[in-house]
Amino acid sequence: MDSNKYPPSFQMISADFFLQYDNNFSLEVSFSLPLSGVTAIFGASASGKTSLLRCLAGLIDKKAKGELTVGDQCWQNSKKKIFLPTHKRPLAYVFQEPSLFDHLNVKENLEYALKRQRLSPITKEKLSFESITDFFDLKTILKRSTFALSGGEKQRVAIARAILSAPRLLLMDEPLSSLDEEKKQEILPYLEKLQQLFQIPIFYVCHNKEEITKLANTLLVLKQGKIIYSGVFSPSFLNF
Amino acid sequence: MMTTILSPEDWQAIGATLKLSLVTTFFLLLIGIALAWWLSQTRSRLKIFVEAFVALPLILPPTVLGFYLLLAMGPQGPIGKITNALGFSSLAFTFEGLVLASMCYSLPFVVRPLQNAFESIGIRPLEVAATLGAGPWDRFFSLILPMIKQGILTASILGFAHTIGEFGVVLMVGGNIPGVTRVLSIHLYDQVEALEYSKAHWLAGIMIIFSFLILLLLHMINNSHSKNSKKIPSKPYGL
Repeated sequence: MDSNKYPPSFQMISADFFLQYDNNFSLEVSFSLPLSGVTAIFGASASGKTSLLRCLAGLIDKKAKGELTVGDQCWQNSKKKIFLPTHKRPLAYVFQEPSLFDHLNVKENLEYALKRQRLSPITKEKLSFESITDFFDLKTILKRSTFALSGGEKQRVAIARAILSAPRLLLMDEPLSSLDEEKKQEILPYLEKLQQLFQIPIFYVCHNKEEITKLANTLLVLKQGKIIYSGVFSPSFLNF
Repeated sequence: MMTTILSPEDWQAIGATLKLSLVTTFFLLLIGIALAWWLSQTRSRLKIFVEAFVALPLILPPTVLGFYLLLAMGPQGPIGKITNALGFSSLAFTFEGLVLASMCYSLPFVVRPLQNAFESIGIRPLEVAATLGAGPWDRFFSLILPMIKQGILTASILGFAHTIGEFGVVLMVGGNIPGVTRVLSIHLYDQVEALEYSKAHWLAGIMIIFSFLILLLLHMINNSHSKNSKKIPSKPYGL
């Protein structure tokens, strides 16, 4: 609906999903938004925010019916029986709880992504191990085991790892919700700077208005599995 | 000292036992990893039937298992027909046949710990790896195998130790051929039959000590693992 507001040269992400769960909940969304900046997916709990994010990632095991086009790539088209598996989609996903590989230390966790880094319009220097560990201030904890990290440090490593894989789309599922207020304030600045430096489009699931106001420039509001607003961010839309 | 206490036949039996256990464990690991992985992932209705079937040797008298395997390996049995068609003689009373029988016998001891290990990984690490661009085979070798190292070790030790201790299946399928299928437990039985009690004492004693050491090793591994995964290491910098 608001897609006309953006210049035509913009890359778009278009999605159209229908997903029926057993418990009478269904997700029925259709949107077309610019593939840039931070898009906040906002809504009460059980409004389908995480389900939508998992649909974008291809992580729904009961495959959602529908279509998904990201930029010039078709990721899913149920009518044409196209479904790009998750590992072939150039995306990265930051989960709600920091999901580091516990059998690897911090450095090895980052290298796991580095080894599988995808082609990207972002310059190689920006996405080098050096610059990412520098940006996220991880240099001093590289040799630590994941068990020796605080919650905030873990999530910082998880976000750094996601960036290192050079995604064209970064999906974040309430990355700060498992942290206390102090740790949140420790990570928020990184997220703000992240956008300016790397310009990776981010879809950011969140129900914290302060976070959204700080980060988002596009908003998608969900209510009971349906979109009730999608378009340019404005704080007034957070009061649904 | 040991050479005078243990006769050449004793050593032969020990050799046959170790060889059988090693070969059996090796092949069981290959099959067990595939089977346990399938069991940990599948939502098929067949799963519970396969699980029950795999667990059968736990409660079945080994002689029952041995009896059917012997029939299957015979000229009229399904395995016998296959080996015949391939130009081999029957597997009954051969080392290869004994390996096959031991694999059936020790299967649950290898599959169970592996399945537990696979299931304890959970879905999340695999999802993370997929979103970082790792395909299914990549995930298996870069993530799953390293994460179940512990389970593989436990499965190997249990499979190995359990094969060493088998008796009924060997008696039915392997016969009692010196140096080939006469394993330690059968050899011990022979000594007792011949009323050679002092020899039997030595063999039985060796088995007890060996079994105890194996279990000790197993508990040591499990202990050190649970310490590593729950507590913060004493040297948090990993230096």
